Amino acid sequence: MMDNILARFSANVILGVSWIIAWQHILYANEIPGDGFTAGILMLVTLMLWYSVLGYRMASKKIPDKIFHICLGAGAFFLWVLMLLPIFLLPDGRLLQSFTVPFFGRGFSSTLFFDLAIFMMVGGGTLTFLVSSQEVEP
Amino acid sequence: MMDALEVTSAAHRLWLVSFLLPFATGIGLALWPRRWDSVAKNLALPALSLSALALTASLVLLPANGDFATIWRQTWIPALGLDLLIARDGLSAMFAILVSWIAVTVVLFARRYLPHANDHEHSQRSESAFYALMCLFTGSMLGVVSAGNLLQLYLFWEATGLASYMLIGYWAHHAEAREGAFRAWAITVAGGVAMLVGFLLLGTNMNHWSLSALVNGNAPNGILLEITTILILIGALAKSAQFPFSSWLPGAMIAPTPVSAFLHSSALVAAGVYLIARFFPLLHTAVAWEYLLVVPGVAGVAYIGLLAVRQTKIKALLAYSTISQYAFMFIGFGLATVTGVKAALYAFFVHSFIKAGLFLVAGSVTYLTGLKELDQVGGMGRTHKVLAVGGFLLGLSLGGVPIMGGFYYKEELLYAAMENRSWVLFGAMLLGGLFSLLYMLRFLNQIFFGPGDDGVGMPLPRTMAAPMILLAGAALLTSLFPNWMNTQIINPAIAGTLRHPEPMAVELEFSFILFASLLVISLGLVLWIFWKRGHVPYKLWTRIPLHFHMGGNYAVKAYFGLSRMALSVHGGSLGFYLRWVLGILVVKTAIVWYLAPFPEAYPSAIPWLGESTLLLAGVCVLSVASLFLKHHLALAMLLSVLGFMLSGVFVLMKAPNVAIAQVLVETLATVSIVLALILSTKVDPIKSTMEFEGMRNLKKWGIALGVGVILGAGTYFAGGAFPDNGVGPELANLSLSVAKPDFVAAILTDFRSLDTVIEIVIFGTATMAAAGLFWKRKRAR
Repeated sequence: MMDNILARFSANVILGVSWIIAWQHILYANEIPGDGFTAGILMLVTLMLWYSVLGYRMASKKIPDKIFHICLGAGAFFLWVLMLLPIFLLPDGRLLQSFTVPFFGRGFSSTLFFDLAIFMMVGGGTLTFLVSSQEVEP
Repeated sequence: MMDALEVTSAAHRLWLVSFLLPFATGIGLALWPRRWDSVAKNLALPALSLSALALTASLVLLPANGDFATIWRQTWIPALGLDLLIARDGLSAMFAILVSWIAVTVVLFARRYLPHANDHEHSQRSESAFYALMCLFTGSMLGVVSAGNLLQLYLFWEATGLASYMLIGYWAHHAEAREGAFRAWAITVAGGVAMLVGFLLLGTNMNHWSLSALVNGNAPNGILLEITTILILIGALAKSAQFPFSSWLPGAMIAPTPVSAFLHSSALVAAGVYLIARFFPLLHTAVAWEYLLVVPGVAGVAYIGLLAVRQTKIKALLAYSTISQYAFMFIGFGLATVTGVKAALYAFFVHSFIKAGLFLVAGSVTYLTGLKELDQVGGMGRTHKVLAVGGFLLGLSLGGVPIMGGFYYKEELLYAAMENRSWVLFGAMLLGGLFSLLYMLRFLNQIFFGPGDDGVGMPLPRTMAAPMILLAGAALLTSLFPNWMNTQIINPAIAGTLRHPEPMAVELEFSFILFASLLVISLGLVLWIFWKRGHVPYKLWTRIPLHFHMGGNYAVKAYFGLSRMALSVHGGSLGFYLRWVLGILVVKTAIVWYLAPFPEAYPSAIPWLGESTLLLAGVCVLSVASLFLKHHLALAMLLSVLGFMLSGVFVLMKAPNVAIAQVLVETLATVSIVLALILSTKVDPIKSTMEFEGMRNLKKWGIALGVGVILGAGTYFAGGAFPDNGVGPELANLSLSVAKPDFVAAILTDFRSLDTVIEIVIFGTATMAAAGLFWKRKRAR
């Protein structure tokens, strides 16, 4: 853990900002291809920085490791569902649907869920691997 | 008054409910919290009962007949003309009724049996897991008999295998259970794969995937008919544990007794009989049909019948008897005559509840005494009269004692053999009948007579006695009124198999067959009396040098042999793997290029890249320079610089989003590589160096240059390989119509979803394996 308060403050701020940017990427997933993956990697890199600054012991108190396992599992589950639906269930083999949110006025498509699942799986999977490599100091 | 259409749709809906309810309950119970374990059994039983009632109501509302009618259709894969179909006819109705009601009886039995058995086996396994698997097993079997197309049939077929694998290995802390489960899985799946190849051959050559269209159409011709028949029958033989694939069934007796009761009577092994009956109209004219059913059938009735006589374990005796009794049915089908098929279906119906009942008797004996060996049990006829009455009704019936259910079906099968002038089969079945009588007499005598008063003072719970009595009652009904279910169950099943009605009427005629049967039964009784008096010592049976594990064991041995071979290839050297993978890539590509060279119409269309050329030149120079770097850390850094330069190329090529992803991936990759180096116990990223081999190893240089040429040439030609009306624009337009500009995700989810599934599996497996290695190290510390 870095004792420098400025480093810790900066890490927390960057984490918050990148969280917002990641969600912006996901919510605008309709507009740019591959945003779920970008958002996942962005959060991942920021979290790694955050872990380096705070140290594993303190960071894992704030964000328990279990959350990453859940993210990995949930992301994989959603991806499986999204992939298997068009293969096995939908009449014309197509899952894609677009819709407009009432009052909000923005158009969304079902790829949003795909991007969200990719975000959870990439982020959750890689962080599961990375935090599992950490040794807790005695 | 409901009109005909309403009745039809109500009946179809009820059938669908009966098919889906066990699945829904199974999935629900699989997610059931362990602390609510005791509630699980109170959910499984009502759900399975409702399913059985819905099925019965469906058949009462609209009786099934010989028409394999589709009751639900959903477009599945339009490109292949494949629809999801749920269908029913008399044949599927008979199997479904047996599956659903026997499932109810065994789950009722398991309520008291399972906690006791878990204690006895020192097992901590969750009860809800057992009930979840039983529900999924039932649902899968109902899926097999309701499947309307070939691929659906295969999927449900393997689902029954998966559920049974987990149920046989329920007490996984016993090595025997693990081995039994694996053996069952390996043999039945091997048979299932053969069956799948048969289905694919059939579907692609006949241009039909619908079972209804196939069985109502013309049979394939010549060699296709023979090959398809062989492959499909291998699947049936393996599933029904027939010779030479029998070795898995005795190993599966390690499962909890309710599972054995279900598995041996109406599920799993019954699927093989269903497959044969379903494909009878299409394949019975093949030459292979007769040989592949009759030869294993003769081996089963005579050889495995004899082995059943000398078993010392209660459940083992019943397991061998299952193989032997199913062999009778296989002979019936193998005769390929109307009489043979009728007799085989009648035998299956009667045998199902007799065998389920006998397993419940065996389970009750173990529950009351804790004993599993026949020679250790005795005197239970005096201590448990209800159990004895049920056991005798069921046992004498299976033994073929006159005017009992088992007697009638053996009579019908003998009649079919005689009608066909197949005297060898006639003799083999008489011999099989003799062994049936002997092993059932031994079973009943050892348990209910003999010295001892096992189980005294311990009452048999009503929930365990009731299902056994119900099944014994059905056996009694068959004895008193052998035609009691002909109109409702047997005749529609025969019509479904033969594709035309053929009424069944079981009669006791004074004929040569009756005389021969009575003679064999008398011989059996004389043998038994001599045996009891010590004139035919039991040891004599055990001295006959018979080995059972032939045939089926080869599948397991072959599997382990292949595993050893695979392990020997995996020597643990990354360089070794790379050389093999890349070497095969070079050789394979050379062959493909030689056979199908790139057409001249594809000149490279890679444009002059302008500003990015400078960056790409830098990438090339640094790549070559990386060969000469000695320090691990320096190499990792150089590779990350290369990645960032590539992201610069993407920026210049107006693909900022890809550039961002590339930057992030490079950052992550660099950190991961450095982390891996730090965590490694053998490499110091700062101090350690690598040796550059120079030009010494020509083989490695050859592979490296080959891969370079392939990738370079591939990229060069691929740049021009876009036809005018290619797939790309079409996909993009189609995706854009619904997904706005995010057509990448649209293509990933919709158009190449199968590839994406596989990528997810690879990513998930790699992540979990890497994390698992760290967790293992932590635990070790």
